[in-house]
Amino acid sequence: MGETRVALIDELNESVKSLEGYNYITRDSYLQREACDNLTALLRRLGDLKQEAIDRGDDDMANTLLGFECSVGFLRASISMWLLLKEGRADDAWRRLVEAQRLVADAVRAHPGFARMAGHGKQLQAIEDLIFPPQKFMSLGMVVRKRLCSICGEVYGECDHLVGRPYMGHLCHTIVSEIEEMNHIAFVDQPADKNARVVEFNVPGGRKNRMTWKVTPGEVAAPDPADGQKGLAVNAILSGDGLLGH
Amino acid sequence: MSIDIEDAPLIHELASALGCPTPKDLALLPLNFETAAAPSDFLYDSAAATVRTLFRTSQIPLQDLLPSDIPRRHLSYKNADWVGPTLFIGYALVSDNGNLLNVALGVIANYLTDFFKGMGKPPTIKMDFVVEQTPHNTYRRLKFEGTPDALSKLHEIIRAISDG
Repeated sequence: MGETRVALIDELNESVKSLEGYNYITRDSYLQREACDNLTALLRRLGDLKQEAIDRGDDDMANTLLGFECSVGFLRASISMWLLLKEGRADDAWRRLVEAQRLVADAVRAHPGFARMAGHGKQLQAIEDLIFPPQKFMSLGMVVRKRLCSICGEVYGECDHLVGRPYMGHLCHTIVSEIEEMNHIAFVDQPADKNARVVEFNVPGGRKNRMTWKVTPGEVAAPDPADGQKGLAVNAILSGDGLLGH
Repeated sequence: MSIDIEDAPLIHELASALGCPTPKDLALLPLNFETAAAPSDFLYDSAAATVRTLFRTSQIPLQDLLPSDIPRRHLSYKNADWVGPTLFIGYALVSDNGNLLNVALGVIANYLTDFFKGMGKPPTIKMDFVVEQTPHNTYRRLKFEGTPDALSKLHEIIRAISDG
């Protein structure tokens, strides 16, 4: 079993390595799409292998395969980001960047064998800082009556699972099941969910995209100083797919 | 790392007015401990549940001020900074069982070290501590901002505050 495991891990490492070379903006788009298709196929295979490990009750292997899933997912998201940038779809490229960042962090959490992935986290941060303009991030605060553990379904805090830790091929996160009230909306420098951001803001004659600065013409509801309103009207995403929380 | 130390309200009087047990060694204080009209109003930071699990699974005793029949309310938000719950630290714990405080801080710090691995820009940890001083019934609030490593080394500062 040990030799089989090592051989499988070596094979998966080789598969990922053979596709890493497409993770540059200069690579041919057709070849990059082909690489994304290959990564999607690899993800399907990893899903099957992980399920087999779960069925065997092999926690370490299930978490190793979770690490591979996150690594492959990261690579696919990162290559997709470059493709979308080349197509002029900056908002979609941002979503892929955020997905790639999340998957890198998840890979490192999944299994100690993926600690090297932390370097990709720094690279993605550099890409965020150099390629994309600064963003205005949002944080939505709410009073929650009940949060459930994604691993066992019990009330989080009453079971022994911890957010961000891997359990049999899955990372623990919380599921909000009862919201008492929305508490606040805030601008923050470091959001848990970088998809929660100002997307566009109103300018005379239309709405200006914060990523591209392209103006979409149309009537806009501007603050009315006569009513004592000040400031800038914006369109923002308040909650994306940031599941982890604290 | 940044540390601010300021006076804290009289915790034993607040607890008494709310009908809660007086915090002794380690307890999580709700965000609104000073303004809540009753325990049913208590609102905890969302990370309080994680700290409760960390302590329970590490056999670190943690006093619960909330009666078991009252649902626990949390403030949830989407900020990458990790805002921990306010941790009450009793004088007796620091003087008689200081090692337990080291372990408690270490358990949180280790969890956060793992949690932040792989993030391109490491978030900040923010956590308040209310420390009971000698003589009894005076309290100081320590407001901490920093890294997991700095958090794990806070015990000396807490001990100095506790000793007055």
